[in-house]
Amino acid sequence: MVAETEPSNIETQFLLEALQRGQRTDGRGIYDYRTLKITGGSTPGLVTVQLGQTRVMARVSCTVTRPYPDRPTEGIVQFNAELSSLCAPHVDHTLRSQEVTVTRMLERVLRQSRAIDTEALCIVAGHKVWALRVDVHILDHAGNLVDAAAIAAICALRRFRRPDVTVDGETAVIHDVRDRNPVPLSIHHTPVCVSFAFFGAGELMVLDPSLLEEQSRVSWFTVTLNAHKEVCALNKAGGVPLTHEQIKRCVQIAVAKVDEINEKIQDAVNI
Amino acid sequence: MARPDRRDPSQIRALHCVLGQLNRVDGSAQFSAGDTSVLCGVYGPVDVKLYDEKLDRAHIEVKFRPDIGVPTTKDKWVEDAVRSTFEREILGQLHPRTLVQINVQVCQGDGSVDAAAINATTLALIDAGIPLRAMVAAATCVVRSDHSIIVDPTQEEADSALSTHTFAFSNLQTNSPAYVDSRGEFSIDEYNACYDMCMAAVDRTLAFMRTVVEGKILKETQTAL
Repeated sequence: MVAETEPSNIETQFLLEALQRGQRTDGRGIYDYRTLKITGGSTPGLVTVQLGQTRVMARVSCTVTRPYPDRPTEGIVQFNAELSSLCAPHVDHTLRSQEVTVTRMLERVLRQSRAIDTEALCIVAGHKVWALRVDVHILDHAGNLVDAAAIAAICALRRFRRPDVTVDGETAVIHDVRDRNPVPLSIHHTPVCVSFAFFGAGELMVLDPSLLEEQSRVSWFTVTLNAHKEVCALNKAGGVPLTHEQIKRCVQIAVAKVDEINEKIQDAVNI
Repeated sequence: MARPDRRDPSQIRALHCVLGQLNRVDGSAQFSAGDTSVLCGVYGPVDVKLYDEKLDRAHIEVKFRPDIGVPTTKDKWVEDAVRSTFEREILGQLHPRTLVQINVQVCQGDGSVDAAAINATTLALIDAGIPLRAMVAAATCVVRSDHSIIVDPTQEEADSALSTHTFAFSNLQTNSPAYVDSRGEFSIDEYNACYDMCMAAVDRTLAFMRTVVEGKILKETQTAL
């Protein structure tokens, strides 16, 4: 069974000693992101993001369906993150729980932050709405899946084009994409995740953890912001507590980093 | 009847391939034919579950994942197609009691996805260094409503076809297919015509694969120097 092996004691020790000297094992600075590359496919709604060696593919698709009875004027958005078996020959429970983490983060970042205008997805209230499906496939896992998946998902949503609809009272005509140009989704803002990992008693910190750093961390903290520097979500997990100064500092670092990420996103979505 | 993208009936779409993009797998290939793009990653030979262990050869496992939604029975069919094709081609006897796992992920599907999966798998196996008896390439032909035959259909062309035929041939015995899948209503003459057209398309695909592999070896030897 090729299971996901935990890093050896020597590796973790080396990592911690290097961090105490302000150095990271891959030669980056403490607050340095790995190279971010965003590529769109020829079909709108397909985006592949590479963050260092981590590779994530997001695919957006839509179908027409009945709305939820308690929300008759809102469309439906469904997220599904999958750790592709490309990442490991036998995906064990540790990796499966990461899938769940990524899916939950996407739901918080994109749905609960009201980034997607679900009212604009309504076709005929109470009868027909658009149901969007965002499939995120993690093709290569080298740490920091959350940031990569969030960027992939929001870029795919912004590049996606749904078929145009003409509504006349209770009847709606959905135009074929060859007859009328498909239209973009209504996205209010572009949230981006910036993740930090903590080590030791919580005094050592890095931005954009690599796989080894992620496996050795004691706590993690993700700041979700948009281009207007508004904080959409804060997510802290792990046993070691953080002081409020650390939290404030992380948010400040995230505010500085979000500009670079946003520039790359803008280049990718302006097709 | 002209094709929407103005191709000749026997013309396949532009082929593109990148090897070794993924880091965790032993070998990978991103194979594209026009707008159809498939990523294949191979692990092998690796540890095998006791249940699947075979005493005299490697156990071959295939996982096929669609781009949209969760896998369904249609995807299981493609898994079976790829597995049965490559169980014969992989020299499993050299690696007994191990596992060779073939993972295929569809990035974009625009017709002829099963053929693209077989092509991507051959290239990924070569990239992983898994010993093969031969290289296998596949192509799909459809018989249209006017009984004309075209090769490498797009999804639109395949949806309106009377019958669909996928053939895979190895570069050793090109008159004996490694895989055949035919669906719909067709005559023996139509079947034979598709056979011939697919064989020609497979020859071109095999030549493309050779170029890709030669490029990889050239790059590796240059880096070594």
